[in-house]
Amino acid sequence: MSAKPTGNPVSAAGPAPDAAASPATAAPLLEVVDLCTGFHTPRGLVRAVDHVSIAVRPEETLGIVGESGSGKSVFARSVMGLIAPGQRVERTGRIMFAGRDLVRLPRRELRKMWGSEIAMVLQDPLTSLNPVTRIGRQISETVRRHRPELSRGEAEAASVELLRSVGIPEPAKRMHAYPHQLSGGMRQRVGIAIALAGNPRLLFADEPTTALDVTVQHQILDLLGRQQAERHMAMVLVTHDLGVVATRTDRIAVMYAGRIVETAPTRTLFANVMMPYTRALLDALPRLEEPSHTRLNAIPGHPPNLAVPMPGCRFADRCPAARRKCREQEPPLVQADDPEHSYRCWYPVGSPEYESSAAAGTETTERSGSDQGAMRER
Amino acid sequence: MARLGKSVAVPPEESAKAQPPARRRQRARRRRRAPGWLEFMLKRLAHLTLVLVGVTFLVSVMLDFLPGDPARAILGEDASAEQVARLRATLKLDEPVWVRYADWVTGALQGDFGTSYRTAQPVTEAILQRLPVSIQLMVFVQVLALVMALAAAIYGVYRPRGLVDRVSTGWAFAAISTPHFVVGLFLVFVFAVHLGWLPASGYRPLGDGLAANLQSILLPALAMSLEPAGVYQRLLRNDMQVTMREDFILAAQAKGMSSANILIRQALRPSSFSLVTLAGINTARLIGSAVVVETLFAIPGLGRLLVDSITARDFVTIQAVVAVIAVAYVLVNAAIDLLYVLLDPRVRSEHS
Amino acid sequence: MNTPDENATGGATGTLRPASPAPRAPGPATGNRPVRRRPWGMWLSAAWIGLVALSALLAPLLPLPDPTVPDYEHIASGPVTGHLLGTDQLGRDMLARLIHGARASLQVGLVAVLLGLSAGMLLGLLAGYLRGWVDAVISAVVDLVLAFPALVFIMVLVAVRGATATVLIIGLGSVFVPTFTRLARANTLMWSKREFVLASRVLGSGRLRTLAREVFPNVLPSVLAYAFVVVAVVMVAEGSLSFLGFGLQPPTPSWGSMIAGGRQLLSSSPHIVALPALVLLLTVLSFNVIGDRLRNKTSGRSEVSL
Repeated sequence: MSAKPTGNPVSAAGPAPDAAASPATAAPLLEVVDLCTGFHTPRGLVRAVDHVSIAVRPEETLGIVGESGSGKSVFARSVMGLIAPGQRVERTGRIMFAGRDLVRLPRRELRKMWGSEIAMVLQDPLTSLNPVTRIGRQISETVRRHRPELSRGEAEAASVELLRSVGIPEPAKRMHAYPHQLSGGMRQRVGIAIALAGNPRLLFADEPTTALDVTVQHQILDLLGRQQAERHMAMVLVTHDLGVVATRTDRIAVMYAGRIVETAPTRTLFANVMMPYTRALLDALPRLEEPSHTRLNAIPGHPPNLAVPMPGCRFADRCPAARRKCREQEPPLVQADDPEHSYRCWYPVGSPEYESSAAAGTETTERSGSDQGAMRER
Repeated sequence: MARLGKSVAVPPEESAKAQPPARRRQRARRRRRAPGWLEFMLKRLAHLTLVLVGVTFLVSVMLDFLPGDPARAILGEDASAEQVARLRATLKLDEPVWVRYADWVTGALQGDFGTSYRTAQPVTEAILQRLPVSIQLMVFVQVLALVMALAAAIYGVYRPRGLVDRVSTGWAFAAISTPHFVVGLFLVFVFAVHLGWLPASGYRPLGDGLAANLQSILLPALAMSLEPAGVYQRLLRNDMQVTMREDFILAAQAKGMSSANILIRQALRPSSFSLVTLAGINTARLIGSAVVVETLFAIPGLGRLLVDSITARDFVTIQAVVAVIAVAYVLVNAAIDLLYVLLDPRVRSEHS
Repeated sequence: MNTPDENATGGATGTLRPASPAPRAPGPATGNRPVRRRPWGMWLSAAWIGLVALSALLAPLLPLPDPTVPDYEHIASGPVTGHLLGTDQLGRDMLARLIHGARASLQVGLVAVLLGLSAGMLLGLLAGYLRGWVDAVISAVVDLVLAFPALVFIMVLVAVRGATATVLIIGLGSVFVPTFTRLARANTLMWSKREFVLASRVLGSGRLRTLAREVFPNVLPSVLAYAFVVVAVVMVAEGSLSFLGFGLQPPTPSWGSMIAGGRQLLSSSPHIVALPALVLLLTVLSFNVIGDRLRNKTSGRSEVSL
């Protein structure tokens, strides 16, 4: 659908317009083309990821931003092929990683790549560590899995080293601790150490700081950035918080209802927002200059039900500038001034249609925003 | 069991957040561990003693209502009224229940349960003869049941709604619904009557050789183990499925662990809490219901002794056997409490 | 012990789990459930129980031979004219005995469970709602009774009072009181914390009135659902007692004693054992199937140890 040639400038670039491929830099490490991930449910097929195309270059940091339910976490998981057992999942498209298509790779082969090529840090460090196993074993079993030639003692030494590298004090002592005996920040450091144990080339960080205190959030993000630089990894940072990705990513893709609705280099995106949804996410950020009790400017309404296919722009129901055309025809991904910046909107921010509607709708938006905390993530 | 299972399954997240820095907490923990630990065990011990006293007293009261005169039963119809009266006095049958109970406890604590009216054998001796048989049967039953349940449940979680899963789930349901004696008769019909592979009844002690002993215990153990196996399989499969949806399983996958590792090393232990509790409760329940299978297969265990004593109104023996069963219940449950602490480190710090 | 499907799919974390891909869909996310199937098992079970119950009720009216009178010409025979399902080791009609045995099994099973349920429900409601010393005492007694071997209690009771239906019902009923008490207590604890119950209290409704009006109707479904499973357990227990000779005394037919009686002829006439065993198995299975389904459907906690 999205790839249908509509005569837009981007679609001429190739079969993967979303990828915003830039010939100037190195070949992408990960190239996702037209990825669809659907869950079979009693109510029918739910397309949590819908024709998403995107690329990650070596050592680059890509931010994927969206509300809860936008499909960003499912995207990260289905790129890895990590879906809970017993799920009936349909995955189509191409995921090229290091010259291999992960969608067609047998599971046995895929499993070999988990942890050693692609790894993942999960949101809640309390639930993502095995509660009944000591930290030390959780790390060293990972180390041994990826370097089977190591002896038990060597693996333990390597684990202590990993713990030290993620900034855990007295790492040798912490090896004997259980997850519940550590603080949230420490637990997440352990989670990161485990993800790094296989020396992956690409790290998915799925909301790595959402469960943590604000002060700890920065430490963890700094740690991720440092490790990424040291290990020359690429990283995909999945979050609902534009503030998190603003200073720590090279590029940002905004997802809504399973689709990428805007993607651009970070700088460009913040300077020149085109998609009203991204605008709304930006407006929803708490501002330092405002008094702390100012009401969060949440986006009114909810993301659409993905089990029911809908025509038109998926954000139309909540968009302050939605017109008839928005409800009838889905906008394609088009290129902005910057060739790496593309968005999906008929009447983007800055267009006369948007500006006039947004000005008129400001008041109603704010009022209805209070009763439906649509931006809540936890 | 539900109570314990719940409190463990949901770690208190709020408190985890409000916790002080790890180092300080650990120091505090070390300081407090021993007394908290002791207190927990003492509390359990007190509780268990109470249960023990309650159960044995209850039996005394219950047996007091037994009709008929034990003294006359012992001496026979020909005995004179004077003889009966004398024996009643020796047996303290005219004393109130609680006096007799106190006497019984005093004796029992010294290992003296009295003498059987029926066989004139010291009850302690009779019980010691039969206890090993019952214990062997129980161990076999539990091991068989757990092995079957573990295999079926783990494979069912590995391939949910696959052939093995469907068959074992259906089979578990049938097993739960089939009385032990029906399973036993079916097994006898197939393996003893038709195939002639195993003896239909009787028990051969270990002294007769390991093979003979195992042959004689296999069918009864199997007959008793199918039902608990079904219960365990359903429970473990459910709990494991819940565990498999946990983040740490996803994380284990993401870090590259194999399916076998994830199922057995990651998922099994956190899923086994309710199973362990249930298996403990079941041990006591099975000692009671072993009566049926012991009768069917003519196995000289405690259950058989109990049935014979009840039929003969031999209440000295009844009281002792029930006490032994209650002690077993209490001990097994205390062991389960300990096992719990070993299985789940969170319980350990909860009590400290 | 856990019925996990309901609470697991929601997920405690804010991350979008694959289990709930459409957060705004109506109702709880059911992505992990198998696609709903027709409850054939449930209907078959209900039909079987209906058949057994109906034939048990109508037993005196049915054109059946007397279940206690032997036919000396046909002893332990297979199906012949006049004996549709053959005869037992004494030449008594199997079909007649099965149907009259159903009367005993169902009567004992249902009434005993009703008794246990009522008593257990009352104790559980009181313990869970009043808390304090009432709860402590009731819970202690429940713990104590659970430590007591149930079968032994009933056997002693039968030895004392004789093997009549009333004794069996009282024995089996009281054995299951603690089970229902625990279940009712757990549910009462849960519902008492709900807002509408608190609201009722705040609005000035008396404690017992609130208990009867607000808590009881909500606790009842999960306890009733569990009752089906207990009926199954009681029927097994009744069968086991009859098998041991502690059940209803001959010549009154009961499935357990029929099975026990046919044991000696297991090799030559297996049908004497097989038929009542099969009927008992199917009936117990049916109660379990229905109970299991009802337990999954009722809200509240249906897990408790027997």
